Amino acid sequence: MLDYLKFYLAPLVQVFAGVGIYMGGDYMWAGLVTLPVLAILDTALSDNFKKNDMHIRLLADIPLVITALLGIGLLFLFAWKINTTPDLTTLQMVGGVLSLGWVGTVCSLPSTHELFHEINPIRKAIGIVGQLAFFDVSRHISHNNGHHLDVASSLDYDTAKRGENIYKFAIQTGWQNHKESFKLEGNALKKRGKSVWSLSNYMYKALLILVVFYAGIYYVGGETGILYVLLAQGVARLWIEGLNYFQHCGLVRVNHSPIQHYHVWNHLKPISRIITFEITNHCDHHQDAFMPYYEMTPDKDSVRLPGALTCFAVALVPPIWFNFVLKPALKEWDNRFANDEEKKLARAANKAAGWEDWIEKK
Amino acid sequence: MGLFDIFKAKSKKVTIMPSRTTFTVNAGQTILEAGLAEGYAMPHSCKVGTCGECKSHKIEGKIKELINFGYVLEAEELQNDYILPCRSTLKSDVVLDMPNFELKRLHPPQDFMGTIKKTIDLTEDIKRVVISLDKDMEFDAGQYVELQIDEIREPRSYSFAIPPVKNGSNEIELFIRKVPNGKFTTLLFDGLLENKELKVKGPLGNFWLRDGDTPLICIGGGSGLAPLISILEDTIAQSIKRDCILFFGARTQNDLYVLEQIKKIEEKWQGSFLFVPVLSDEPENNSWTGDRGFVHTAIKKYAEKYIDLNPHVYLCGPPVMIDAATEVATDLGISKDNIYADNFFDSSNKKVAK
Repeated sequence: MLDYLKFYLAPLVQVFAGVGIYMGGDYMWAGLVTLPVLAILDTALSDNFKKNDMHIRLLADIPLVITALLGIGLLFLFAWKINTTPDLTTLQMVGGVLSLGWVGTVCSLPSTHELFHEINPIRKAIGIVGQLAFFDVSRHISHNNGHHLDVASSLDYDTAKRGENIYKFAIQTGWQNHKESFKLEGNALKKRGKSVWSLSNYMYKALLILVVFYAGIYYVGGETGILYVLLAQGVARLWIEGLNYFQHCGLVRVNHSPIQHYHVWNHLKPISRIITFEITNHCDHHQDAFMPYYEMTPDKDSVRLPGALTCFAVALVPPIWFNFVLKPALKEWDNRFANDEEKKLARAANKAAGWEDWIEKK
Repeated sequence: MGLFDIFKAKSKKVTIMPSRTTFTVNAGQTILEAGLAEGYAMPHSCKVGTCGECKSHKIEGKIKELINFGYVLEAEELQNDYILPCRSTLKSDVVLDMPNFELKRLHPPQDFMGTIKKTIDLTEDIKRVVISLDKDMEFDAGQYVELQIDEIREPRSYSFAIPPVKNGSNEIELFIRKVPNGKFTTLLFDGLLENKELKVKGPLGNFWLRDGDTPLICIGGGSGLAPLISILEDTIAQSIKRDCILFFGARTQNDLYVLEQIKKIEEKWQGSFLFVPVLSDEPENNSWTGDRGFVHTAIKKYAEKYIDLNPHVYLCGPPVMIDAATEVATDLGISKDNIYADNFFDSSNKKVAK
């Protein structure tokens, strides 16, 4: 039972951030404060290899649904607060933007990802709409049709190249994912003999979701509300690409070759696993997309990066990230896991990044 | 729809053609999920509607697309009612034409705990490994199991080297070859896994004897002999009469093993049976009078006489052997549909997930 309960950490963090927004003043920073607190705690704990003792999907899905919905609810709360509290300082509003950017990333991305993979139409729809927390209601298209097939290969927009920093990657992948979703949707319509502008285009639904959402935000928060909600969504959007970044950064795989467990990075610190609904332990997800989050087995034999929460902070400083986290991990990965073809790709990627050739000769 | 219809069971049926195999698909289940749960060898890979491996032709009925099939299928396929069963739920009973679907119903894989009871050296680098299980396992001849120990996450796959027994057995036997620097086999060959508890998952795999009365051409390399021994002994147990040639590729005479067992198979075999060992590294000018070279080079010489009889070819061994033997077989005119391969890969050379 404890295993079911622990996954309420994400909605708890959201509620904490929400209470901060509601109280206003310097408490607007409350959500962001959870980042260093949880990161320090997570770093102090040992990696956790335990599999969850959970078997009832309906029960396991409740915190996912709550988290996805709370992510949108927080944006409304923020808009209302800004509209009704004229004496908030700029710094306090920045605190609110960063707090919601952070919880929109660490809580909303993993929960909505899990839900949009589901078959149940209601849960799937909540997963799609919940992506509003990070200004994205079409990612599921490029995610399923690109990332799932192409992970770690040169075709994957979600796998950063060696030497690419988080800022360049975040802007690039965000744009490419949107473009890819548009392209896939347009091609799908053409194949059915319909125009790209046909009303069957999913992008109209996406647009409708956005219009309804911002109308609601305008209703409770006015123009200023929309502006700050957009900022919070924007911060979340850049930060979620950060999660993508350190889940796959620098890994290589021969295009279209079978996906193996080592083609993702693992962050197995307990809080990282729990708050992200196991997305930091998601190698099984790439090999079996039917598998729910709680059934994924932590990979003991993997090269592990620090906890995801630490990575969220460290990746923001590229020299520290590359020299103290990524390069040592990739060096071990290349020599322990990469097959002969992948070693060739890794060697070329190191050369292109201006990094040393650390692959051991046979 | 009546007011209370929503409370009625919503499961519907799918029928797979041309075998007319029918199974139930529950509400909220995809066709692929339902088929796999029933133990059918459904063709599939990604499960998210991306790879197209499960692509099937819908002959009748209504389905719900869980993703837009237009992302993956071609215009012509969409017009001709092709669907992706991994991302389809049923709105009505449905009939599908699934060309790669095989009628065979397999025993669904289960998790077992096992202990290595005994290991017997067969050659310098191949052992017969006897594993006792915590419960009976039922399997089909030719299938494999995955072994996993706590220290190594990635399971290792090994084929059964024994024929199945009715209602299953709590003891299985495998042939395991030592992989240079292989983590699992180093522990095994150093004797560190004796009496150690292992996680065993199985049975797995789509390598089994297909129906027919045409000749069998079986080609095994190294420890790839295991599923072939399993299939051949099971064929005898089932009193199936087919002609057979068993090719065994090895490096030297010292690498040939279970020769006595093969001799017994030959004695009990109904139909003609020819055993052809082929050695690739046997020193010249010694006592060996048999065939030399890589095993695929001997296929034509012995199997050509069967080509007109539409033989079935069973291959098990390293990828390079499978590729070469497949090329020879197809060049001889054997249809690819009649070539069944069980590729095996060690963890240093993973190309294909089994």
